[in-house]
Amino acid sequence: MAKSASRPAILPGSAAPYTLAKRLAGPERWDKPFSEDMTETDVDFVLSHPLFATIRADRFPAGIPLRGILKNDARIHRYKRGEIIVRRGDYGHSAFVILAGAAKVLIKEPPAEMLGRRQRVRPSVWGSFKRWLNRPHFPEQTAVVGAPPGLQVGRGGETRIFLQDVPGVLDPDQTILLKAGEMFGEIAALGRTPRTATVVAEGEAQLLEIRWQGLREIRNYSPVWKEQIDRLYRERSLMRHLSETPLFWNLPERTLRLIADATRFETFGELDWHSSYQRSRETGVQNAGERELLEQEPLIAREGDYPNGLLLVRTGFARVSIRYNHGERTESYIGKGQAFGLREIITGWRGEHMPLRQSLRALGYVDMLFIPTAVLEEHVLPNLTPEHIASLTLEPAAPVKADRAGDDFLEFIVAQRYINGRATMLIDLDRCTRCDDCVRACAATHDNNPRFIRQGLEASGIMVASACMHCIDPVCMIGCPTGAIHRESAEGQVGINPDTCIGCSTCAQSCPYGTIQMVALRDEEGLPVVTEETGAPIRRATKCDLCIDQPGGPACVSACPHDALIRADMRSGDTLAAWLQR
Amino acid sequence: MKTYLVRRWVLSLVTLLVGTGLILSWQLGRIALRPVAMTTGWLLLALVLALTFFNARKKLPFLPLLSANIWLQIHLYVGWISCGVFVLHTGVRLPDGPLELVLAAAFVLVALSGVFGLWLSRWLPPHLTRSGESLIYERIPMLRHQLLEEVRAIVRKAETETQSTTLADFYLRVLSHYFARVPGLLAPLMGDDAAFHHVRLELTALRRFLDAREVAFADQVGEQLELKRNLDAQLAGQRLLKLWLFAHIPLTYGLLVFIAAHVWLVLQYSHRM
Amino acid sequence: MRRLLQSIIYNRKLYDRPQDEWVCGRAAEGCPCVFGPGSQGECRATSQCLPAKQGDRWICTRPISLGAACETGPRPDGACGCPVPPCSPQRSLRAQRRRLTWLVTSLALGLVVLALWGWRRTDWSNPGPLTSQHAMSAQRCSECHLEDAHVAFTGSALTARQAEHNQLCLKCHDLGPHSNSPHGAAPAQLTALGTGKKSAPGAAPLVLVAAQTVGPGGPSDLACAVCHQEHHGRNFDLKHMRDQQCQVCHQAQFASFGSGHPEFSSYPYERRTRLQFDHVTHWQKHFADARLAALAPTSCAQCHEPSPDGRQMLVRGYEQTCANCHTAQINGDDRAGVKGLVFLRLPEFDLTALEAAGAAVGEWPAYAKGGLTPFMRWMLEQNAADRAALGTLGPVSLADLSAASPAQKAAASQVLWSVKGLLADLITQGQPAIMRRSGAAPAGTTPPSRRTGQFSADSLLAAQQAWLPNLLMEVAAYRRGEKPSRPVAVAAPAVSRLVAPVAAATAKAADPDDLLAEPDPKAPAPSAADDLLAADPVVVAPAAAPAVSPPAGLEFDDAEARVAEGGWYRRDDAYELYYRPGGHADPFLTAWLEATVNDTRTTAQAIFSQLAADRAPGVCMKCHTVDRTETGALLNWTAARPQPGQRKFTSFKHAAHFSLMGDQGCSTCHVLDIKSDYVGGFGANRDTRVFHSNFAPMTKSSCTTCHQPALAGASCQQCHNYHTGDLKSLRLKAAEYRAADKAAPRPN
Repeated sequence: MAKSASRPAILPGSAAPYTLAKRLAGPERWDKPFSEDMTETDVDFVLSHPLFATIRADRFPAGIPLRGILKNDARIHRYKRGEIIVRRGDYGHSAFVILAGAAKVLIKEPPAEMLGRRQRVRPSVWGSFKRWLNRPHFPEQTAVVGAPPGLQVGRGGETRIFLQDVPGVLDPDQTILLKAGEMFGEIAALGRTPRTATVVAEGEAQLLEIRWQGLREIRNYSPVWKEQIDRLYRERSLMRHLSETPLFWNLPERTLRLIADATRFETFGELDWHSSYQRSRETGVQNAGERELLEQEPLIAREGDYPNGLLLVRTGFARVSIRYNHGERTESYIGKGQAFGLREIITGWRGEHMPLRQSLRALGYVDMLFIPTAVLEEHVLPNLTPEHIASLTLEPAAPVKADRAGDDFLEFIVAQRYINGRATMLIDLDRCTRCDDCVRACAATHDNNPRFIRQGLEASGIMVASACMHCIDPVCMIGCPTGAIHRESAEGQVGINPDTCIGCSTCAQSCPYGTIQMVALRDEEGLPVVTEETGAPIRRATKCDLCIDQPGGPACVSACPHDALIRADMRSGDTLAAWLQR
Repeated sequence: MKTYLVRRWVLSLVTLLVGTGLILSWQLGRIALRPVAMTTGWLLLALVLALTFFNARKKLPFLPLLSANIWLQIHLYVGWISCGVFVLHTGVRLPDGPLELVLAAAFVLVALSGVFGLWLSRWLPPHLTRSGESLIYERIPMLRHQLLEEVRAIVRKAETETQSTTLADFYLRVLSHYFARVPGLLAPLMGDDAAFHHVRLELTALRRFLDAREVAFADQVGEQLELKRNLDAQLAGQRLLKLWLFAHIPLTYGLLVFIAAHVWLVLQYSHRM
Repeated sequence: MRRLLQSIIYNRKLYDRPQDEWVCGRAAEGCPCVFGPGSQGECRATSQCLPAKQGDRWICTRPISLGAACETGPRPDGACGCPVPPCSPQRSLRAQRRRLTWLVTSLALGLVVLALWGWRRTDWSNPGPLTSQHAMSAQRCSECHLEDAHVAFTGSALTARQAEHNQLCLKCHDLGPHSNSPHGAAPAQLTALGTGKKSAPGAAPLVLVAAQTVGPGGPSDLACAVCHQEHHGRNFDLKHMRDQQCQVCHQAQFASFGSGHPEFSSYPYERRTRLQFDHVTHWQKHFADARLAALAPTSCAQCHEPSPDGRQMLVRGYEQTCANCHTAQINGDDRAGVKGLVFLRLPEFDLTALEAAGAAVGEWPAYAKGGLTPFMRWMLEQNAADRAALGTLGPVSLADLSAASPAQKAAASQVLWSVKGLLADLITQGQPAIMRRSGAAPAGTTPPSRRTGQFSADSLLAAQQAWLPNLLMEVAAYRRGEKPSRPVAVAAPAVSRLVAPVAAATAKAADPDDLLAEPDPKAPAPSAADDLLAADPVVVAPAAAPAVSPPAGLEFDDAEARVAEGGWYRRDDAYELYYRPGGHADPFLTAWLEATVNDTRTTAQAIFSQLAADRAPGVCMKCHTVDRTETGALLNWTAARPQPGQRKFTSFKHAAHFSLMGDQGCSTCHVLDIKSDYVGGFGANRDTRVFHSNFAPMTKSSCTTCHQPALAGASCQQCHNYHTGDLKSLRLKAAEYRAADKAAPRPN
């Protein structure tokens, strides 16, 4: 982490800052390689592949040689026909390069169960009533668990899912063919965005899977790859991303492309911020040393500097803070799609010089787009109407203003990363009579099993209960071997498919907020269910599903008699503020 | 509702209006020689059933009926109204018959417990919040046990490391009792910090006989004390918040039974309906 | 920063399950077993985990939340290293509450069952003690309640149910025929009350108007229980009503008695007085007369006294009131002319015509005058044959049969013989004969025996010896069917020398002092049959003298004078037998008046008009009036008397107000009305509602001085009764009660 902390801010005319970072030892992630099976021969094989032949190994620092990367951060997969390589909507953490054979990208998304996903049940009162009527009496009681069709659980939790009814799905006009030498999945890997399409092996295929760390290094030290990856990104999603940002609305296609070309991709913090963050929690210290934590957050832009570019958040969060005595007070935070520094740029463009008034620090991992000021002044600002400018230069409304809870609450939710939540369970302890109605309602709607714990960190009379926040950036999904944990819907509820969950507890470990619980399954007598071979109790990841299969919405909210409980979307600050200021 | 204050004002006003309307129509009904006792009786029955349904609503949370907090508001204000209707129904007179007397007593008790509960649920939670970490009631015995164990460990450690039994004696004399004790039923109502302060004073008094290392242990014990104080506060408060329902709910069902008998008698014997 | 007791790390905590029934007994020590209690709360503890086998060695699988893998580790045989000693699972808080709820509910249920069906049910389910009047029914619900009443919800069913219940009340409380119409009044009466009443001045009070919108229970809703609610304690006032409750049904609504209550129209003078007594003339003229100072009353109380209950003021009896002045007039002591009534007479027959017709007449005075008296006709008509004969005669006068048809002549002769027979019967049988011949008396009137007036057969015998010596033989022979010997014209009896001077009578009659004398004693009304003699001074009818003439020194007084206190006497010159009434309430007169007042037959009317005539002996009808009622004419012998059965809308208690009288005494309220034509209401008029009171109607102001809410009270019920009509006292219910019991046996 010291690395990211030492990373300098964006300075006038500075190149990509990463080159300045120097590494002495190999990254600690190599202690645990991506795959044990990657042999030297495999590495040679890969290096011999035209794609890698172009890479100049000498550009790589001594600490991270290309071979090392390929050995530790990559592995070779052999897929049979119809085997699913990536699934649309899954959160991948690796990119794929086709070494041999071919893969097909499905344009039309096949039905969920075909991809080994759970079929969404339509919420109905009668349905929930029936569920309630024959609710089991023992905790976590289930019917005997069996693998869903197409799911094969191998050793070490490595799983393979086969597409059902291959010919039906793989008709040529519904698919795009990817041939050997092509790469896919890099956006999801670098940008921590869900897979945009499902890719299925076409015949016997051999693919190289590179996890995001390795991919990042290669991109950094191989201009060719960097160029290629960025091109891919520019082609595949940057334009869309830009056109979505308010500033570039009603700009002609041509200008947009100019901007896209000028845009730099910059990444701050470490992708698996949650593990270190969790470590800080394990010590049992919360608010203590908050300042240290703040200091450790990588600085993106420093207060008082000249705004040499507009910063757009692509993924992740950044803390907007202002210096206050010896510390930095959090003003607000910005998330995906929000911009930083625009106001200063515009005032500068108008004539008078204005330095950045706030600092911007990465919260965990932030992926940013950097659009140089010059480009803006040349192409964007002149085309803007005065009122548009006025609206853009308005003081951005902080998510949580000083309220009954006070700034402390803002500091709290930012420091604890609760801003990640889209449905964070907040309990107003001054109203809550600890009647547990919420918990019982949860149990009544989930087969007599509560799916959250009415306990958690408290700040200024508000408790953040440990219920799944259905995060904007769901780190829990990273590394789910079966994709059992997934986005349930466009609204973004995160659900766990009990049929495909193999109880590896990866998600539970990666969830920074400890809202996923591993539970031991019980049979009808309430005795633990164990595996035949080892006799170890079968566990399963459970968490709040936001009552997605309930007609009445989240039962915990509607069950609270003292309206002390809400599921707050941290992005809409004003509703949160309104709730706090009742 | 924008804020609780606005909601409270509006609903209270509505309740007041409805109440006065009821009283007026009751008066008119009496003057017009209508069977007001019957009318108010049926009304009261309906209200009581509506109030009781709040419980059913809690048991079946998935029903997309109004959310529980709206139900609670209805429960509260309808409760007030039903008290008024009850007074009208009895004709502002103590009932004469044994059964009626029991019925009325049950109603009054239920109403009183309800009012008490309302006051508790508005008055206690802030106290609990301020007291410290809010603990989960079911876990409290376990946590007390855990605290006791920890204190014991600290004291034992102190004894072994510092070769002095001062803290150990103190533990035997004071701490063991304090950490084992369970606060009284009505503790929250009468601010039950005396024991805690007493122990803490003794501990501070003890410090002057301790050397630096022992003081460190004493500080750890002090931290445990703080936790125990909060534990007691949480236990007592939450217990009270749960116990008032032990009066309110069982009595309600008793009341329903008596009401049924009452209605049956009236339908059987009343000369006028 | 303080330490947190509860970890927030995912694998250091478990879901809390407050909804569960059972909690592991070891939860308190923080090491619950993996199994947890069974559904019945039995402990199923064995070990803290199920060790898993990896390869050939066992590993502990205790979850981190329970302290992760234990140090001891599993036993070689794969059993858990740290087995959990069995615990006794605790019920969760909610489970305990649920049990308490069941307990309380079942207790309540038991109590209710006892109260409704237990052996003390009548006490326990009794909604409250009954008033002392009804207390005796406390143990017998079925006396006042339909035990097996079916619950009713439709309107009709409700009214039916109410009616049934009312019947139970009416078992004892007789409210007359219209028990559940308002005020127990007949519908017609109600409408009558409703119409023509002047509405209250000023607007009706708002509350009443509003109450009417609620709609007062109409007659269909008039259960006894509407007003009388029981089970509210021993001393509960069952009758209490608020004024507004009284008014809500009424058309004329007002705020209070003081403001808005209508003025009294004619209260309390609602009918003609039963006795014609003109307070004005008496107080103004007669009582003011100095000569009567000794006799005249000085205060109302001398003639009026409160009734025992103190409500009405009654007129004292005749002796205490009128007797002083009016006895002489009733006895007729100082009246001119005949003081008696002709009861019998030998009528004049056209003997020559009869003889010419060949009818056997027998002995008959030649100088008989006058026709049959009404009394004779009455007695003859009791015999069918005679009634027929009289019928055939019709208007033909017995005295002149020249123009009569033979049939009529025959009828006349029959009448002659019937008269003889009547005389003979009266002589031989006396009063029973009269009774037999005066027919039956209508119910409620005086019995026929009173009509005899203590008739003396001997006086008639003496008369017969003087008039028709052979009567008895003739009648006996006639009845035997023999033809009588040839007719004998009886010579007029010797006129006595002892003449009762009529002048004396007339002189007496002319006495100017006589206040009670008729307006003109000299010219008596010629219509009056019994005044013939007085009217015709030419024919002097000397009183009949006994056959024996008195010795010197002794004189016979006039026959009339000799029965001064009432009795029988005769006049030989006119062959008449008289009855002279004696004193007030003479039985003979009252009996005959009652017998004839409602009789439409001409004979009866003749008798009545004779007795009721203005100057008839006894002058009964001078003060006593006749009322027309539905059942016919009613003779008022007495002034108004309290009728215990009858309840009026208003009730006033005189006695209670005596203490409030001012100096003017009763006239504080009863003010004489000098101008009113009191007498006009009497005479031929028999309608009690056509009258002019002696007194000015009451004014409300005289009441409101005291009757205000703050003072004497002004509630409706103070002066008004709800239940009116003839309310009998409680029925004797034994019979009905047994019947009702059989109908609805009490379950026990």
